Amino acid sequence: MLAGYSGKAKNIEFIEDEKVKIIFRDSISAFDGVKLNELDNKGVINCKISTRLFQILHEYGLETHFISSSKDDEMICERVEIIPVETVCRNKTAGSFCRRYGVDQGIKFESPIIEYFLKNDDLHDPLVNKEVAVNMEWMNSEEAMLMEVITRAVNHILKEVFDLINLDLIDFKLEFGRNKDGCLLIADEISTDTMRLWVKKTGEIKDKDRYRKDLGKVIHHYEDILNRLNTINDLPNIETQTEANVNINLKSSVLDPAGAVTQRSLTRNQHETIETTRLGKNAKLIFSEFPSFSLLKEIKGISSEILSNPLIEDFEIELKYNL
Amino acid sequence: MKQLKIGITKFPGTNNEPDVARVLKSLEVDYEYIFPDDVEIFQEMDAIVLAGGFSYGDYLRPGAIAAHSTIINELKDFVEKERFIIGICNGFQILCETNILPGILTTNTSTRFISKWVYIMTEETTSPLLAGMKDKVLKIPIAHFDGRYYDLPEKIQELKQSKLIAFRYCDSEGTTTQESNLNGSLENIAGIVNKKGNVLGLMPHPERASFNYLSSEDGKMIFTNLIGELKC
Amino acid sequence: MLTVEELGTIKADIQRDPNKAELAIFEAMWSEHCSYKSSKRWFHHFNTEAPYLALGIGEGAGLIDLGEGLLVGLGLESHNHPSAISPYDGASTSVGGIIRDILSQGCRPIAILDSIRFGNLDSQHSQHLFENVVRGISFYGNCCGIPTVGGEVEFASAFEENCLVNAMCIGVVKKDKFVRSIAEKPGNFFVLYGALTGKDGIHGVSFASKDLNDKSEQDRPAVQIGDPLMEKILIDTTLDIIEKELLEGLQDLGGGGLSCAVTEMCSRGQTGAIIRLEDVPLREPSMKPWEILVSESQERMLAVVSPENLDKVCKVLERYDLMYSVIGEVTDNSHFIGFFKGNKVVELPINLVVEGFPEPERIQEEPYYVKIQSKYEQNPDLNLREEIEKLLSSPNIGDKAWVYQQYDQHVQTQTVVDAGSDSAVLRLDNGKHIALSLDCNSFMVYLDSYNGTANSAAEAMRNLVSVGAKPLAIVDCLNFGNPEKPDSYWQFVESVKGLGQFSNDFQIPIVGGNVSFYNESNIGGKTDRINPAPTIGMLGIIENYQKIIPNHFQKEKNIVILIGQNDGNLNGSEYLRYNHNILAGKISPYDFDSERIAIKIIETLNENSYISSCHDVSNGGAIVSLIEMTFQKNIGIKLDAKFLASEEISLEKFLFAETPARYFIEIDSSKMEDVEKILKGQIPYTVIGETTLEPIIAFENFLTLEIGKMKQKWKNAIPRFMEE
Repeated sequence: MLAGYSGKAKNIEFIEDEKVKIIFRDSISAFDGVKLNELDNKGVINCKISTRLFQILHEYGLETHFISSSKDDEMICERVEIIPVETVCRNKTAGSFCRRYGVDQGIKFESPIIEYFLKNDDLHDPLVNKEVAVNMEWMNSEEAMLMEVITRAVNHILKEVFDLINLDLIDFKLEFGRNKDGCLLIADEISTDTMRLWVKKTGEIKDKDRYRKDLGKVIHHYEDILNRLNTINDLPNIETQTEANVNINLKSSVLDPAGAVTQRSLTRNQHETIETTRLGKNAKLIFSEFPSFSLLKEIKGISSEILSNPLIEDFEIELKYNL
Repeated sequence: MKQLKIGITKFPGTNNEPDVARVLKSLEVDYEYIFPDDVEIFQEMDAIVLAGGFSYGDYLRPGAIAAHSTIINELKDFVEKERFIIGICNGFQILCETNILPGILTTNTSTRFISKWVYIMTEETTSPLLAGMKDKVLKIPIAHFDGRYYDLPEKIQELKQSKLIAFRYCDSEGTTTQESNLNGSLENIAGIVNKKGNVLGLMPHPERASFNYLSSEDGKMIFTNLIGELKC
Repeated sequence: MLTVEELGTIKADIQRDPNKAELAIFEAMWSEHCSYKSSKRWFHHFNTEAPYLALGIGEGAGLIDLGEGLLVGLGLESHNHPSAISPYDGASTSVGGIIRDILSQGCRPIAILDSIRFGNLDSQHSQHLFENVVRGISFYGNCCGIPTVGGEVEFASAFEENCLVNAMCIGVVKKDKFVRSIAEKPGNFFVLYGALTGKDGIHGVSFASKDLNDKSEQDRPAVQIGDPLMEKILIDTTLDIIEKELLEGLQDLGGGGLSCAVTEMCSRGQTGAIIRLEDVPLREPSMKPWEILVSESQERMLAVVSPENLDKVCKVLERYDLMYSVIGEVTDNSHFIGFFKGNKVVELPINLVVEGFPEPERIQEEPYYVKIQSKYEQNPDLNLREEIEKLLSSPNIGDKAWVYQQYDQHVQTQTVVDAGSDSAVLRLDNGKHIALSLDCNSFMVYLDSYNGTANSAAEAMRNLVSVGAKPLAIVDCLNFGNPEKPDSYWQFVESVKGLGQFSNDFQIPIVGGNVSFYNESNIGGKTDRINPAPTIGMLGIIENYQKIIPNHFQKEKNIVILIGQNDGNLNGSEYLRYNHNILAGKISPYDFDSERIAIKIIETLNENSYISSCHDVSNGGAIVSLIEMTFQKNIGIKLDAKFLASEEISLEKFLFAETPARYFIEIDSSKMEDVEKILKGQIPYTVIGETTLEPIIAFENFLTLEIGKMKQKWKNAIPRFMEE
């Protein structure tokens, strides 16, 4: 028998072919489960919003665990091992950010901020940094890099999409998982439970803060979001900002005549503390697609097969999303 | 008997193809320029000469971009079929970038381009392309920025043991000195052959030493050997 | 910037204020670089005619008819200002530019020569410029597959802030295939092809038409970046189109960019043009019309194509995967009309743009230093060995292998005599040989611009003669200071007169050239001006390859004769300048008769195959020439000292004076009698010694120089600064 488990708002059932069935319940909770309620139809609405947003991300070429929606409150997804660190992307200050740093809410960031949180209710999902997460082996450094650029890309897309329906995306969280092949996929749900949305100009709150702050009419506003999403026929044309820097360096065992000449010149100019100078190359690749695990794999292939010669050179890839 | 035809590769930036053609013409052999996507006619050739120059501007690494062009699969097929291939200068660099020949040609230790008449010693190999040339000292010009032959020590050892080193830089007497090794190649290596002996790669330019009005005709023998082999 | 007078001329002609785009065109076209406004009034001094000339001065390349349906094209251009600011890119684009000049006439480029000048090598700045200029030339020329076969290098403090980079290119074309840079028939199309147009090099010509100053570094955008791969593809494509005879006209886009190419071609054809600027393929989409008009992006050509051939031309361009665009048509209304997205942005009379500029008043005044006498007195305690070793280690005298070994000299397999000889010799496909030299002694031109220039031309000629060639044509590149300064302008005018005299005396036509003024800098309040440097490139022919003469001693026991008379004048010599730090006094005058007779003698001796080797006397004087002759084969010479010095001419003067019109020849002793028959009564000559197997230069019993040691000094003259 295939097992499963139950979360705060969803039930997960393992089904055949390395898939899972995710059933959205009507439960809603806040403050690590301290506040807990059932809201009619909430499961269906959130499942539909999540489905729609996953589909939109697929349209733009992002890789998620979502496969199909089976029932109104059910999604079929790839089975993944959830990474215990989630990302939060913020366009404006709100929520825990304001509490943590004692700042007003609604201050716009020059460029979006990415934060990492350890998923642990007992510890109240503490803020962590990449170095800690990688060292604790919650994720590897490549996953850390990918999670950041994917989160930025998702932000870019969702911001433009919500812009169409007069909503301001304040912040959101993303969870990631690896499938059986080790591919990094966006996982869990993307819904009004996992983001903040304000109506443009008025600043009216449309998300889970209505529940947290007891603003009332939670389901009404959730439904409104779904309705607004359903009015979108043509998705906006979004110019991706994906860029990779491939740094190619001669292996330390290989003579670097140009570096040696430069070194001699530096020494001649009284910079005696420079011990060694090695000159490398940099290739900047600018893409017309959004970042993904597959893209990184492709870049690795290009780097080892074309951009560098493995006999004498090493390379490092830095993936960036410039927004 | 069928008229021989030798293909000379012409990538954008290749510039020695007329020089190779000039030698083949003088030896009364037909030739054709092979462009990077000339897949159809490739296998009709009796042999291939990868001419020197700066394919794709030597941008990225010498030979690297050419090594990923359409005809390279055909070239690999040619190798498999044990047909003759000579890679000169940039052609040698392409052969290494495609792993048809081992090792790599990297920047001269001087970090400068070197254009000079030099001497190379023909080593003992089993390649028919070098038949009758053993121990011959050739006067021949070099012209390259990236001619320093490099490979891992154990691979160099293997080259030596399997007698795959074709040429080494030497002085006019044939002694392989440090001074004559202008680009800093390991073991003074100027050219190598593959195990089957059908592929030869070398940095010096035999086509530039194949006419009596130039300073030397020592390079011609490589071409006459090739043609001799093709005819038998 | 246009002058008030120039602006007035424009307004008077077009009866309105010129707009921004039009101003940009005038600024480019009326700059000194494009218009020759300070120089052209003197060009009547030049001999520009010869029966064998197929195309004279005025287009990309001069064309010489070598017979049998083969033309040789040659051109010479400066790229001084860009090289001083950005040496690598400046030098590489200098090579690219001159190649496209040759290509504009349909020539296949077969050789490059370079003349480069820098400050003294003990300065780090000069080392940097030198290193990178050579790298730039090497990178571009090598990648294009054109051998760099020769040239010259000179070092002097006067070039510290203003280095000079002059590039010469030679090409060949079949007589029935050559094209002109002309737009003749209305209705023909302008096709722009090659690289995309970007903002690089905007106002490059006006940059080259002013002094360098503290802010010049900020003018960097004016320096273009070269792409030799694109150039190589451009060459292959153009030659394919030329071979198919599809063009009515062709010009490269150089200084002044598109506006220059269009108006010059129309001016020659007495036509007009309509150009649609939005059809120019851009690298930066936001470019404004005026920027498109004067952009100096490299590797672009403008072809004039008839409607019948348009498809065929496009097909070739597509096969080579080259960007192109039909940007306009030739018209019959003698105006340059430019549209941008439907708006007329340019409407100017072609004549006004190309030659309507007012020629500025320029004043000449002899510089003060010309009258200063040299204070050098004969050295009574002359240490010959020391003086000779010092001279050999002067970078101006020493081996230039450090430079030319970075240039591919052998691609195209036609280089019969490499760089490092008096002249390079190339074998053409028809079996004939041509010789090429490029020369200038800027110290002599500084001291006496008239005689110095004529003697520099004579030196270029002697270099051809010493390899057995007959001179056919001259190209020049006149590098001078600010023409608005009277002493600088005097140098220029005197120099033109000197070159003019030479070209008329010897009936060698000047077939191409370039003037580069404003090689002057004002940095930190200090004004630096270059030595005037009219570099002279010369082409010669060798009808019979067996008559190519080596420059080095061939065997022992041969007799060495000095042809010509030493006048004992040390002024302007490298010996006085480098060894004794004196640059002053009256130099040896240009002497047509002695040059002419000496050439005749060498030719006669060579026709009879009497000469084993020959080398002219130039920089460093007789001793340096002699020592150089020993290097290649390590064949020494035993000098007969009694012939060397005389009452009038001391040994010091004999060895170090650079008197023109002199050659050393090596003769087989069995031929001596016949040779003397030819020499006697015709020309002064001195039998100075006999070659020896022993690798020494022996002055009887008082001095012996070991060739190995001399060679080491000579070889190390440049590397001692550049390596470590």
